[in-house]
Amino acid sequence: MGNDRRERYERFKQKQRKKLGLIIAGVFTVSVLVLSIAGILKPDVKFSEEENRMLAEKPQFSVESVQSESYMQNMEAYTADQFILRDWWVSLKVRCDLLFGKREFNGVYLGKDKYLMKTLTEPDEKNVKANLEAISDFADRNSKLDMHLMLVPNAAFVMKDYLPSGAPVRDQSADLKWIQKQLSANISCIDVTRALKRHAEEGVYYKTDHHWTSRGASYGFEAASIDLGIEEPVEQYDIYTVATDFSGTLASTSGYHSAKDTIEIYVPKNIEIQYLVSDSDQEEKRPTVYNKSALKQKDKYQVFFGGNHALVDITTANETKDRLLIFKDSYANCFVPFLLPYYNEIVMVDPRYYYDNVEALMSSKGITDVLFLYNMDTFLTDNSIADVLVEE
Amino acid sequence: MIFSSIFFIFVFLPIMLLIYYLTPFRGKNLVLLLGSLLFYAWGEPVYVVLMVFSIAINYVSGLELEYFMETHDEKKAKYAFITTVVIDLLVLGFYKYYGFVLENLNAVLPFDIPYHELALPIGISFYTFQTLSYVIDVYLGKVEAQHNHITFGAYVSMFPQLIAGPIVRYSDVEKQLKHRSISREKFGDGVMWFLQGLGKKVLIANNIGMVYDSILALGASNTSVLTAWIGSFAYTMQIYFDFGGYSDMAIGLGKMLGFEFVRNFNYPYTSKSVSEFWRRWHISLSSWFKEYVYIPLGGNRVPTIKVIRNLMIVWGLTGLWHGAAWNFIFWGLYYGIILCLEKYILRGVLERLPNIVRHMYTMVLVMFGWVLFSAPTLGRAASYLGTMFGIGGSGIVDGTAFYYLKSTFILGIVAILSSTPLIHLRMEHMMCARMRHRQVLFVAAYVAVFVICTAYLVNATYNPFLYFRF
Amino acid sequence: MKKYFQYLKIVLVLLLLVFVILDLKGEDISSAKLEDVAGAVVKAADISEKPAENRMIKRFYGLNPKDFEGAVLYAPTDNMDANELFIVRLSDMSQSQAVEEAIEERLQTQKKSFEGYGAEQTKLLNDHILQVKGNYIFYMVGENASKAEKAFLNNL
Repeated sequence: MGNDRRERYERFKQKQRKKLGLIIAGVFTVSVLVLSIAGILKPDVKFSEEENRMLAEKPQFSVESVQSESYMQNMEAYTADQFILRDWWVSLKVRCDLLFGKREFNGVYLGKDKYLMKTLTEPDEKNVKANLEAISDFADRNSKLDMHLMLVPNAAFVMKDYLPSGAPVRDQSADLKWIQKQLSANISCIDVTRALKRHAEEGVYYKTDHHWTSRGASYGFEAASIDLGIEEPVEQYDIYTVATDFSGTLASTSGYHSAKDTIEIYVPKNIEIQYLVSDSDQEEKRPTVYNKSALKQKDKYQVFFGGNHALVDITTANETKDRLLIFKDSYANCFVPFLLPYYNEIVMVDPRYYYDNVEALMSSKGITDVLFLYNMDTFLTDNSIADVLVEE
Repeated sequence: MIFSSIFFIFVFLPIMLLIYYLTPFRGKNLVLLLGSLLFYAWGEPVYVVLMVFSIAINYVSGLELEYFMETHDEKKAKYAFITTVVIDLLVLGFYKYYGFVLENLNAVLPFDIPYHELALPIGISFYTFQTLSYVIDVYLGKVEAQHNHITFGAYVSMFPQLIAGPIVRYSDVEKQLKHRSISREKFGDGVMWFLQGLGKKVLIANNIGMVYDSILALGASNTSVLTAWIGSFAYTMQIYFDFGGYSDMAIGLGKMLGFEFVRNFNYPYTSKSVSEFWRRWHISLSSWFKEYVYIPLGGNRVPTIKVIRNLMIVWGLTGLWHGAAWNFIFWGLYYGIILCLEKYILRGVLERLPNIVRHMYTMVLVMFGWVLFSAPTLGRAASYLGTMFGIGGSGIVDGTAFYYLKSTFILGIVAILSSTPLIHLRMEHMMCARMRHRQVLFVAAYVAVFVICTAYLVNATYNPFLYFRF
Repeated sequence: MKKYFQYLKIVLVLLLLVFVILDLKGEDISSAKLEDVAGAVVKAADISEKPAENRMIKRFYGLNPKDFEGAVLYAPTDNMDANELFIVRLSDMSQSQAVEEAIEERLQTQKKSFEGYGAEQTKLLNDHILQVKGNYIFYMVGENASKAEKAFLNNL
């Protein structure tokens, strides 16, 4: 009896599975066909604003590219990149991730108040050691110059309280202490961690970008000015908001686009500074460190100096003999405007792109002060500082 | 090309199926063969030649064996059989273990033998085991030799199971190769299997796998006991849903083509002993070893000491099959030892224990096994196992553990539930419900899985496939 | 017919052996001159600049050109430029891996530099071509990379 019923149930189950399977198969087939045909008909998109990257193009067929498998890989990348309504799918994925309780996307944490923070990378020990040695040697060779190293901690460390609770993060204070120990006595470290931590809630980092904000830089400057030997730092600034819809690199890498950032510019109150800027990409001198046209593009952080350049030269009309050379990464771009009133000339070198002789540059410019300015994460993975400092 | 990719689902599969369905039946095997060769060449444009050689040699060998057996030339038949098996094993051994063997030789020898590291051809372990099953069964007279080279080629290269199994034995599909029914209903069933597998792989395995990777990257000193357990739980789930999902997709694709493959996984994590676990995990591999190694060695119809020897041989080989590294060998032997213990000592004890304890005993041993299996080196495996017991880690519980606990919690629950028959039974209930809206819900669940998987695949930054290495 | 299958098998196994030996042997050593190869590649890639100084090879790749039979580099001229061409003729096959690793590292560095702000450069870097052919190694980032690769292969 029971067996009979079970058998009947089994048969019913089979019937139902067939029936519903057909419906599912129908939906599946239609959607696969519609989506792939739509993908073929849709014109290719070259650039994705949301992800801030060039999308893959249709690869060209050749024997070499097939042999090296690059044709196949590019073809797969092409179909995924040019998939119909790509942005919609990407945002659907992020929403599902959130639903699953995930708070880390492609190496970016989503913290409180929609703060995106880059996870900190493991240091590249070999290069860090080489860099520190090179910096020490450089400081010893030029012991007459006033030399400083300022490593700005990153958002994930400074704003620990904003991280998803318990998220693992590197102790950058310990990193700084360790670095200090390795360095020659001829160079001193500037620690802005406390200043940034004290103001962590005021927006010292962008929510959608890995850089610090002008506000963060202003606190950094306040803390650093004594170490830099600046006697009467400006205390009052006019603050101008130049963009309110900035969506930075972290939004692109994470795919999380819910927050927008504001970019501010700090201009000293009641002081007129006259200066001229030129850089290795644009020799023509101009009277501003800001590049307004950057505000129209995706990466609005480039409003500061128009991005990174191998060499930037700022000459001012200030009555001082101090001439500063900065070895830097992009964190310096929004920091240097604060230094303008105190130097006769500021030269910024980005070792990632600068290939000429530094010593010659220094003597020709009559440098009196040197500052290394990096964010900790970049510094610990950099492999170009040692090269640029090499004695030739 | 892996199944869980936009290119496969939206380009290869529709074109392949369209041509396959439109071709009259006698041409279908040819379409299948050509499509499969293209599929394989997509990932291995050079080593597709190797596979073609393997197909040709084993095809010829089958006919050669048939000839000798028909003429009752047993000596020659035996000789031909042995040479073919040796050739198959040599090719597999050479491409898979050459680098490993030389690396270890160089470590021992006072001088270095220079060698040129070879890439492992995808799926070579799977298709070699298939051709071996064919040659052995022909020699033993269990199946007839295949006379049609296209049919034989289609059997070896069939794309659903080509790169990650299940290891389909020739005897299982012999008849289907000649005749199989292809129907809309079967296609529907296939789609359901495929979507189910896709969901397992893309939604569960990929997502939970990231947890293990980042915990492994923390390093032993930053791992608390709880973190270590979360990590090994995550990997345990990842490998099951990865491989199980892939097998489901293979079964589904097989059905779309009209084939019926045997189940490769049968809720392995519900097992109450390690022996049971291995009857439910990667069934096609363990039954292959049982049939072609364990039983010919005498199985368990020999004195105890020999049974133990046989078990250790089989499990050492199972480990080695998974890859050319010491981890895998130790992982295999680890199971060999546990199975011997269960067979001779623990069996009686286990039977008297409550089910829950038996489950826990099994899962803990399986989790240790996966740590051994997955760690990049033996040293790292040891340090990881250490942290699971609080040796060399950062205490019992720390903030990091809570972070991972929180970010794995929902997914972990989903994974646990899906690794038991529970969800499957609920779905069946839904399917058979009288109320219309519950049936609609059933269909909607599949569609939702498909849509969400597509979203993940479009955005695929993390879509590794664990069993590619084997 | 059937009794010939055993011979057919032997032939197949011999062919397989040839395939395996070819696979194992890898690439042939080319005796082409570096200048000729580089010349052809530069022409195909439409590069008009002069090659970079040797110290740039050290700077970018951490490799000393003197360790090799020869090496030629066409480097980016400014920081928004990702185009690069690097051809090495090894003096010893055992150097192959080290050079490949150095190129990989250089590529990663470049990708990191442009990540997030140089979308076009990032794409070029992603589409780079790295070819190891026996004693020659070819690495190129740039629009014409595949044309250049073809010229490289044809002139070995």
